[in-house]
Amino acid sequence: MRFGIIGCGKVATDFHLPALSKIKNVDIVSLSDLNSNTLRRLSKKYNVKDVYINYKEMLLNDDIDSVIISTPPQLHAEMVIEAAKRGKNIIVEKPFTLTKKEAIDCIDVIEKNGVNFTVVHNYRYYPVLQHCKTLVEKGIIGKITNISGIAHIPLPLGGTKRNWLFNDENGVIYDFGPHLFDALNWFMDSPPIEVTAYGGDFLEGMGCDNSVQVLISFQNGSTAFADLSWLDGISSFEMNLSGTGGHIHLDVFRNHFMKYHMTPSSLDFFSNSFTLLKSDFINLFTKEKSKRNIDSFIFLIEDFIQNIDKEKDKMKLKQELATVSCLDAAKSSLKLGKSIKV
Amino acid sequence: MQSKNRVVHLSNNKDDSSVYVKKGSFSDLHINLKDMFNYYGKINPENKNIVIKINLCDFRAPETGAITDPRFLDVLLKCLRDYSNDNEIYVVESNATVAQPDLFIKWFGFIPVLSKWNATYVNLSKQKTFKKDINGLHFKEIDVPEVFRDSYFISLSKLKTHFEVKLSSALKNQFGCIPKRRKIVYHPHIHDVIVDVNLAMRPDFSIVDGIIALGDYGPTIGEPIPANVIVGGRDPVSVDCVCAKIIGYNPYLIEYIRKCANNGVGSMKYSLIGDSLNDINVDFKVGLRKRTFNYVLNNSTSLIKKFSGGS
Repeated sequence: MRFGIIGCGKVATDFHLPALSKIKNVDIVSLSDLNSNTLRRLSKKYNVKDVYINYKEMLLNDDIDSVIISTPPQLHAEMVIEAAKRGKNIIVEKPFTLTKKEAIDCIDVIEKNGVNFTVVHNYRYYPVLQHCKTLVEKGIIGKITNISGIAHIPLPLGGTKRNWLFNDENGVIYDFGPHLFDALNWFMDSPPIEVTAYGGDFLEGMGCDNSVQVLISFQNGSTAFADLSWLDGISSFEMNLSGTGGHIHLDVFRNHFMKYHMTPSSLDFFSNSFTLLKSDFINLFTKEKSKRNIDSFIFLIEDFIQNIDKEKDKMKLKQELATVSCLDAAKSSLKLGKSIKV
Repeated sequence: MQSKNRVVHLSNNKDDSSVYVKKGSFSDLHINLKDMFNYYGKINPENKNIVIKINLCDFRAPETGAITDPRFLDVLLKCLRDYSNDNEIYVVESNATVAQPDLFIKWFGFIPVLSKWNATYVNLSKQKTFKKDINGLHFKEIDVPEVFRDSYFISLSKLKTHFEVKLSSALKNQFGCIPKRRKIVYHPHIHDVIVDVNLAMRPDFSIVDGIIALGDYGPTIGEPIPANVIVGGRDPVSVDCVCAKIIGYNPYLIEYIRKCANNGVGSMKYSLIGDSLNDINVDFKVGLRKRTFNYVLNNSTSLIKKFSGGS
């Protein structure tokens, strides 16, 4: 498969391009970015001769089967629609779009043009989430009654210019919220029906939400709770899945989980601590953590390439719309101070 | 050990090694600061422009103890304006590897304080600079931001532990006067660099805010410690000695303090004014085992290189 990259910033440079270069039978045939120095540097590194400042010109190139859109999210909808109209399969960075309306418009065009589509929810491809998803599907904890997720992330200041986040319209919900909401929807496997959000700007001068808690109810009667914050100095992405037959605690960044079917004993906590300590030392002395990150992009792209099952496509589109709808509803709920039907 | 023969600008009794220590919370701050300034006589006797270096080292709210509290700056500016409304007051900070003070100034409530007292925020990383010969331990010459030229310099720092150098207060605050953003490159020589920046930009007065201090790991993440103390003085070395003792350290075991004293920045022989250090009996959570474990965990790569003989 032949890929074109639209937007060659930090995420494309650190993840997409290295991941593509490791996948067999995949060629990077074209690059597009507004920065000609970036294009020059990357075209030399990846031996790509076809470069464009204007991405629309790139989309005219029939040599390209698929595109990866890695631009700021306010550009995603326009670019997804253009790419779909040109018959290109699409991988787009998260968040898919900033509003539900944009997502619906994109999905209409994607379905009309019959192209493959996925959003970069690469955490789905982390070993611990893959394993726990399998356990849940096997019914190891019975029927899920509720999931709580915590995504407390340091403020994204260094590296990528994330200034699009720091305004009244976006904020912390759009930083790690897409990953967390996607994971919640993925595990729950039922459409969300109502969202209630609390929190806001705890600094009173930042101009955007920096700590938000969201309650989501689902069609199957279950609920999910998402806790997003930039404030407490902790870097953590964890989930607790409670079911009629047990409980799973997931620590995504540490690639670790614990499964309980009865009240955990002190021995369970001791064993848990030992496993975490082992995981910390492995991360310290190897490049396991960064390898896991790149691997997740590789697996996502491979899955995208291999995915020709239309039923799976439709489900994927529904889940992506569900994620964007939850984000959109959370924003509205915060603004209006009430629950929002999704 | 004799000081090296260095040119250190001494005026306005900068060889005064008395250190003012006062217990109190924010409600006592105005009285305590006024009391401190009254003891030292007229602050800024030549009525120069005033430069106040604050600490905005990371995206951490003021109540964590990691950065300057706008409430403290508010009271300090009030005290300075009590002396004079005429001179310019600049509140300064520089960009750092993970810090963007242009954003933090807005987000953490400093803008209303600056407007109220007619003070101006200056980003040192965006200033023109002039070269100052110091023939220092790490730098032969150093870039000094223009705003420091012929100004009265007040260092307003926080009382914090530091996982690498043990203490971050009066002397370490000047590390943030280096205009270069990626200051992380200086960390392998940090003690020498702290000496050099203080040779180049020695504060005329140092104030350390320990009302909400930072303990445990420091200097950005750690436990907020309500030490309820302010420390001040003309000699930043003396001030740091007192701060070290408050935290529970022997100042002679802090390399940059010793080096600053040995190179003429100030004196480790201080006299205390105000409250006794015995009255400030606060646990900064600096137990050896935890510090050692945290240090090893966060510096494993460089430690492995060091002990395996790598560069």
